Amino acid sequence: MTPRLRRRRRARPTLMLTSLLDMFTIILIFLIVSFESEDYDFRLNPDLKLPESTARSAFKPAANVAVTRSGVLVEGFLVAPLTDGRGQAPWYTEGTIPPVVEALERVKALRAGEVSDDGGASIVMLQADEGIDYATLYLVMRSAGLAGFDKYRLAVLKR
Amino acid sequence: MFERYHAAREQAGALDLIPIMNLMVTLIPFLMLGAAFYHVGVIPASVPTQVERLGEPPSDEVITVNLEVRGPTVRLSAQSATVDAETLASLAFEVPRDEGAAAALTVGLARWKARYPRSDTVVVLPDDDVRYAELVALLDAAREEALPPGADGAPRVRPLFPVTVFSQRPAEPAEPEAP
Repeated sequence: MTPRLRRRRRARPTLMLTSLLDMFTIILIFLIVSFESEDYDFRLNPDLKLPESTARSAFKPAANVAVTRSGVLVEGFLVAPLTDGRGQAPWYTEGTIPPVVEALERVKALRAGEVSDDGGASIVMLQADEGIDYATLYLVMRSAGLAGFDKYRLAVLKR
Repeated sequence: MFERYHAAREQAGALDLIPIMNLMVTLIPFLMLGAAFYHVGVIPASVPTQVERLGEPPSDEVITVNLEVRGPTVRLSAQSATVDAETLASLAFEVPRDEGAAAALTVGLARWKARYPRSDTVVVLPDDDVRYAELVALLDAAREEALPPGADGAPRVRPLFPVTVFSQRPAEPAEPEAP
């Protein structure tokens, strides 16, 4: 066997990692840009579609209330079922949703010891479906107000 | 003769990427856990509360905008403790509730803001059946006015009435039945 042939047999195959590294670098940059360092326990409810807005206000720790077409959820738990975005008729005449008030009162009691005194204890983060009518939305806000939450943050998708 | 030299040169030229790959493989799952694939903003709002007025009324002329969404129109009016009723009445205007409502609203409110620069509050009084998405679009129009981009190309906005208060119109009295 000639020395040249021997040399060919000895050459080991190598994996081309450069293109893979390029791809990883792009993914890494994208993930760093979209990394949220502050969470505030906000979870977008999958059953609703938020409206788009140009609002740029900052997040604050808040109690989470979601209004979907099938119900009102407080901290992820369904407390008041809705039918196609509408509640029971007595709620509208009374101007309050009693189960929402009770649930939020419990949340407020729990949060009283946890949240620092920067106003966060009385803020509700309200995520509502874009198709919800104002009567229902206002009813939920009033109920939150009766439970001691007098500031609202309406969650929207940034445009 | 030069076999050793060539082998050494090839070895020196190949960069060992394995440690970088290990780092990437560790970082990517970590960042994926904390990544937000949607960007959520918030609109601060409140509902009316009864407060006792303390001290003297403000010396500046300050107005509060009433934004009514009523049937086919969006009606803008103003209330104030320091501006006379005649002036306030002359400010009011209506725009049709269609796709151009938001733009017309911004133009009108920019005029009010130029006249009463200390004002910042809008009270929203929609019909019960107004959809949340429409309301958010109107609030966007009332909150700020888009300006031409600056020298660096960055978008610029001028705040109009960023403080939002949600309210409900009092129920209208029923019309008397015909005898």
